[in-house]
Order: sequence, then structure tokens, then C-alpha cells
Amino acid sequence: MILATNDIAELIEHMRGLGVAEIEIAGGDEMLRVALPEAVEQSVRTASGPAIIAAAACGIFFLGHPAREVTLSIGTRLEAGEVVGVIATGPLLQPVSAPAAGTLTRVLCEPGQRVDFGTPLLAFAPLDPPPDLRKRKDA
Amino acid sequence: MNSGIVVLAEPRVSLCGSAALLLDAEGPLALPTQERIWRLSNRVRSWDGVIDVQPGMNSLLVLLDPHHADPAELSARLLEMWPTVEAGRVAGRLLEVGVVYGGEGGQDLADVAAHHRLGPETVVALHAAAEYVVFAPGVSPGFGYLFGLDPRLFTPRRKVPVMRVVGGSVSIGGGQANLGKPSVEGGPAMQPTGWYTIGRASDVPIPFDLAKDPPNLLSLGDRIRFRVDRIEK
Amino acid sequence: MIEILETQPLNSIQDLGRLGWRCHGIGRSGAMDRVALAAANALLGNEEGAAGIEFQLFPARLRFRADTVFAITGADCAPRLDGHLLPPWWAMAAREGQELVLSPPRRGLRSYLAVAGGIDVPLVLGSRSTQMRDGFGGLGGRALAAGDGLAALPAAPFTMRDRAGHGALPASQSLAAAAHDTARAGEIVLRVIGAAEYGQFDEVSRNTFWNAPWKVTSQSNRQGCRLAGNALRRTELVEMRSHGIVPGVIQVPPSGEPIIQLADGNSAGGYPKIGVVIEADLWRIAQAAPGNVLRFVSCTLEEAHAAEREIVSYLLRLRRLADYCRFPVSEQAA
Repeated sequence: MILATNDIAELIEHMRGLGVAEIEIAGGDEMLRVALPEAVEQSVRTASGPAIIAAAACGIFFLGHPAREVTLSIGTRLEAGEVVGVIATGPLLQPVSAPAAGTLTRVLCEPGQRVDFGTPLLAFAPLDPPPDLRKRKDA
Repeated sequence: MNSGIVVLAEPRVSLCGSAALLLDAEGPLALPTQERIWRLSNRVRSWDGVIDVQPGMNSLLVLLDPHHADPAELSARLLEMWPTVEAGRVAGRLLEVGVVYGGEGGQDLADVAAHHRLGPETVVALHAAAEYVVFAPGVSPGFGYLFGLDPRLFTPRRKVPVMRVVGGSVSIGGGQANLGKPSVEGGPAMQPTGWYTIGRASDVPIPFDLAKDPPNLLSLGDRIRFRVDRIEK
Repeated sequence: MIEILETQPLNSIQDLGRLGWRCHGIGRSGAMDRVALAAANALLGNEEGAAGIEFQLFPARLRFRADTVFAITGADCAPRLDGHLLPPWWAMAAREGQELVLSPPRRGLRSYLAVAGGIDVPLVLGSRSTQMRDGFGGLGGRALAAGDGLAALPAAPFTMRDRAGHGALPASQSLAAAAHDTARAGEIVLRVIGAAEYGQFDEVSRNTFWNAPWKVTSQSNRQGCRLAGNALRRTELVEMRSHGIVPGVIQVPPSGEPIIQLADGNSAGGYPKIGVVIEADLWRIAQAAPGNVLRFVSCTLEEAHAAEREIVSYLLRLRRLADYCRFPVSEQAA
């Protein structure tokens, strides 16, 4: 394998930071091609009601924080903007935040799992669900 | 079973952790050896990978950059260079300080005299006759470890420290002499010591003053003489 | 600009210390946990050695008198910004007027607060570290007190990519500790290179040194860590002359119980040295509280250098990735 999976996640982070959309690495008779999605949605409102917090980075997902005992569980009240988990890309930890106030309803991703852009992580019931939680640019 | 002070037949360089080397010189503590240590330290200071040097009593500590130094290679270089470094007097300053021996500022004079079966005046004369050389830095900015104490005044250091007045204290311990820096306003009036305080130099200058450039009054190789101003009971 | 509202003794400004003054009896000082301070600076894009605040005793409260991006690393002191709990090893933007509270850590001992640009106090002998024994450096050579105001050096302004901040995987989870045959969970393993007097210790003492648990006593501080355990004895009691020593040197005084010299430790000493903790493990001692158990394991020079490189790699990767979490703000033309 040209690059270990951990290293690919870090590579993706560099691409994102430097504004590189696509990269191809050839080595021997192997080739690795990495292409970033154009936009990443952090949260999605499903038809049935609850909102889903999805991964906005590639790395390893932790509920709460890897260096703290997990205190979040089903039913925990979340504040808007509260950091409910992290995604670890190499030594960097990026926050997974609740986009609005609500209650945690399901953990959709096993903590310790590798996640990609858009991987569903947590489901929560917003206190005051707006019509559409999707971030969108104003026209 | 005390075998006395260590004396090596050959110089030795040992690792002091992963980022320092310690050169222990051969032979007893002596001025020519220490002159060579000062000269070696000046040369080594500019070597690639060396971030600081510190002479000790018959030794040299070389601090290395943990990322850019090869301790094995530097160790070999040190041992190779050491025998070639010459002795010889280093040009330096002479500081003279006036001392009131005995009395309140030198309360251990009588005990030292009794220990050596000498009169206090003889102890004072022997102490003041010598020219003391700044051999190595101490554990804080000061006059450092002074070499030159008359062997007749060697007095084993106390096992249990005692409290003595701070500020220009003139003391002896083991085979070394010591001159204390001036007391600091707001600082402690007394401090614990395992040495014997035989006098006080109330006009002692500040050995390390951050307001000056360079901040140090004396360097290694400089000398100190004590002038007998008075002997008190 | 930070205002110290409440602090305990012994909290001080530290950077990575001062070099080049050993001929005057001045040691390095600096942060006891150098990795934690460097990581806090990496999160903010500061120079690695920018000055921060080392907290040894808690609680502490401070107020940001200006918008400030800051980072807290080291022992998890449950930092709360206006009451909101922050993750450990985290960088966050504070708004003017917000209050930060640091609480006693449950594990570890020392926490580090860095601010964008670094704390602005005068350089003394090339460093902003406080030397409390001799009274120079840092903030007037003393520990912090309630009412102190600290400014930050100017830094190129930036905004955070994520309002919730970003952080680092703590050193304890990124840097592998050495293995030890008899150590139990929670004990701190330190890699040691034998020192010049190692051979003078009898065989029982040498075995004890490597295999026994060593308890950190309460007589431990920035100068050194005094350990309790079975006394170590030498076969020959030769007296030693004063010689230079560095942080990490494990001295054995007449009592036989070891002392590990640390950041503010004496720069010279006359006690025999049984070994020296490698530079790369000194941060682990900085996080050892009284009552914690230390274990020593033998280490080669190559292993010591590999451990150093591991730290360099961790900090460099963290810095590069954290750089993407900050967006430079271009100055508007007047």
C-alpha cells in the first residue's frame, strides 16, 4: 500500500487546508487517488424528524474526548455549539458540535471508528426544530 | 567505609543522560588541570551541537543539542583534544575584599580554630594569606567555588546544616572556601549551610548584576584575596 | 491581555528556558512539561518557545481583557470559559470579558496556558522563564498574584476555522511510554541512561533501582523530585567533587533515597549519580503528583534519540495540521 490509512487521513487534511481538490500518487504498480468532495455538510435533517450530526473531517471519531470519561449518553441535553465529540486526524482533534440545542437520541458511529466526510455520527432531537438545518448559502 | 575523594588515573567521559557529556579529569584537584579545563571549555563551546559548557571541580559538563549532536562522536573528540590542551595562567581580575573575622559575622571561627588546635589569629592568617581562584560556578550566580584554601584549614562539612547570617559571609567547608554575595533587600536574613562561617565581608560587591553588561563581575580563573580588617571575639 | 483574578502560589510564566549561562550557575528553568507548552504553542501557531503560564496549584481564575485566542494543555484542569467546559488540550477564541476557571486536575499535576503571540514580559538572559529562587525572569522574578495583568506579544490576527475550537491528542496518548516488567497500571515509567557512578552501587541496590516502585514524596517541586523507597547503597563511599548536573540527573544522597533534579534544580552537585532520566521523558515527571509511583527502565542512547524524534514529529505534525484551523485575517487598508 502506498500510504497507510492514518496517513491518508492526514493527507486529506493537508489537501483541505491547502485547497487541493485532487491528488494522485503513483508508486511502483500502485496508484492512489484522493479526491475531496466539493462541500461537506455537517448536519442533516432527516424526513422523520431527528437531526444527524455527520463527520466534517476524516479521522477517528471519539464521543466526548479520548482523554476524558464519556459522560454523554442517550437523553443527554446538548447546548447549541457544544462539543460532543472529536475527530482525530493524526495528532489534531477537530470538534464535532451540536448545531442546535437538543437531546442526544442515538450514537450512530462506534467510537474509535474511522470516519469519512459525511459519515453519520450522532442523532439528536432538536429542541425547536427549524424547517431545514442544512447549512446553506444565502441567495 | 570512606575511601576519600575520588582520583582518576585516566580521564573519563561519561554520558550524563541523552544530551550531555561529563569529562572527569585525571589526577587530583589542581590549578594546572583546572586551567586546562577552562581552556578546553572555551574551545568546546563553539563546537557544532554544543549548547553550553560548565566547568566543575576537575571536570567539564558539555550540554548538547539533543537533535543535532552525536554524543559518541563528541565524546571521542573530547578525549582526543583533552591531552593536548595546555595549562598556564589565564589572564584575569583580582578582587580584594575586607573581612571582619570572628564575632557575630564569623561565629564559627572559634570552633574551626579548636578543631585544628590553632589559635583564631592563626586561622585568620592562614585564610587571608591565600589567593583564591574562581574554579567553577556555584549553584546560583555568585563567586563560585574558590580554590586555594590552605590544607591546614580543611574542615569536613557539617552533616546537619545550621542557620547562618546571609550577606558577604566568608566560610570554609571541606577543601573549599566560599564568599557569599550581598544580602538582598527583602530576602532572608539567614540561610541553612553545611559550611563554617569565619567572617563577614560587609562591602562585598554584587557578583552578578542583571543591570550590567556583562552581568558577571568575575569569570572563571579570576582571583579573590581577603584583607583582614579586624578580628573580633 | 489577561487579568489574574485568583491564583494559588507557585504559578509562573515559563517558556522553554535559558541556555548558555551555566558558567554563572544559571540553569535552564522553563516549563516542567516542555511538550505540553510546545503543543499549546503549536495549536496557536506561536513560536515553539513562546512564553505561557505554568499552573502548578489550582484553582485559578482569570479574565480576558481583550479578544484572545488561547490554548490549554498539560494536566486536565477542566477549563471552563464563562462556565462552559472545554475539552483538554484545546485551543479556543475568548471574547473580551470572558472568564476562565481552571480546577485541580484529577490526574497529572501541571497545566499550561498559551495565548496567541505569547506572553509579553521582558527577556532576561535570553528567556522569559521565571527563576523564582534567584528572583529574575518572568513577571519580575516571582510567581503570579491576583491582580496581575499580562499582555500578549503582537501576533498576526486570525479567525478560527471552527468556532468550537480545535485541539491536540494529548501527549500521554500520542507518545508511547516505555514498557516495564513489573510496573502496574497508572505507574509512570521513565527511561534512564546509567550515569558515571552507576557501577559504585552494590548489586542489590542496582536491582532495587530498576525493579522497585519509587514513590513521589510531597517534598517535590520545580527543583527536584524526592523519592521514597529502599535506600540505595554504594560498595565504596568515595567522596565526589562538585560537578555540573542537568535536569533528569538522579542523585543518591547519604540517605540512599534518590532525588531527580528538575527544571529549577541545582546546576552543580556533589552527590553520586546513579542514572539520568532521558530528556524525552522529563515531561512525565512533571505530571507525577505526590503519591504517584515511578519506575525506571534502562535505555540506550539510540532509544533516547528515537524518543526525542517522536516528540519532534508529534509537535511538527500537530503544528502543520493546526495551521489549517486558523484563517489569517488581512488588515483592511486604512
